[in-house]
Amino acid sequence: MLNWFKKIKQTHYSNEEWVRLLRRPPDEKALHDLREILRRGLITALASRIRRDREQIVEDYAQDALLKILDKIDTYRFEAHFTSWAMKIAIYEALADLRRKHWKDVSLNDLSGMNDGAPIIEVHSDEAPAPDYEAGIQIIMQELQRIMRESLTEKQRAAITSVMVKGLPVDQVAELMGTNRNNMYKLIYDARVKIKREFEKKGIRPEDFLNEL
Amino acid sequence: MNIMKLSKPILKKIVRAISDTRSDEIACNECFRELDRFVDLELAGKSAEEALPLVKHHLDHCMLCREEYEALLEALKVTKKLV
Repeated sequence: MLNWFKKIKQTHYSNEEWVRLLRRPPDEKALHDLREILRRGLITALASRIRRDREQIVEDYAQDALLKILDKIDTYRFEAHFTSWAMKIAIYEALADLRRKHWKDVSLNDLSGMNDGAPIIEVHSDEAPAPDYEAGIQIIMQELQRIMRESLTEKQRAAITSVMVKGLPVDQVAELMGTNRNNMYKLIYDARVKIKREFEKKGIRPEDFLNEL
Repeated sequence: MNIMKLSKPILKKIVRAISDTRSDEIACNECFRELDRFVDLELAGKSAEEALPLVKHHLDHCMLCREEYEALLEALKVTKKLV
């Protein structure tokens, strides 16, 4: 029988008990119980993302997460259930690893075009566009390209091009650009604010185009 | 010349992201800080969106945080009966 079908006994620790039991030196039973909870949660949440050796991979993720949780236990703020907080860390770490593996072949080449000015963006569609639609698209595309060329910094342009246009994952792009995911979000946010302001100056309301797209 | 093909759904996503940009957005680390509370509220049948609107807005626009939120929700649904 697969391990994850094994019956797990219910645990009834309060948040305070979890913290007390897991502070160093951690209680063995509490450690075991938390590992089982993490493992059970991870195997379900990651089922569609891990094709082979799922049992072993999830076991490793649960163990790695456990160590992180013990390290961070003093940052738990008692605002959510302890197990929710712990699972959040386990999910974050596991997904980060899976994304790293999935995108390991992304290189700086995939970010080409980031340093040689704003790209020329063309919209392609299999459908024959209606004239009004086409005109609307043209306006917004021309303006978008002008703003990218004239108003965005090189880094903002790179972030928008790679993440929003090419659809590359934020954390991998961040790594390639020598920054982190949070700074990437801020970089893209600042770019969005600039684009929105420039649109407003020209009297363009992006929401008006959403119905046409 | 650097030419990029853009599908209609991608263009729509970009335009929507620009349209939805607001001055009080939170970044990924702030979203992560509140994510467990957000999911707990949802699982308790309360309105997480009302309690934490900026988290909801971030989740609607950040693919990675959204992925983490969905995975966390799924994991906690399964383990809820164990704790």
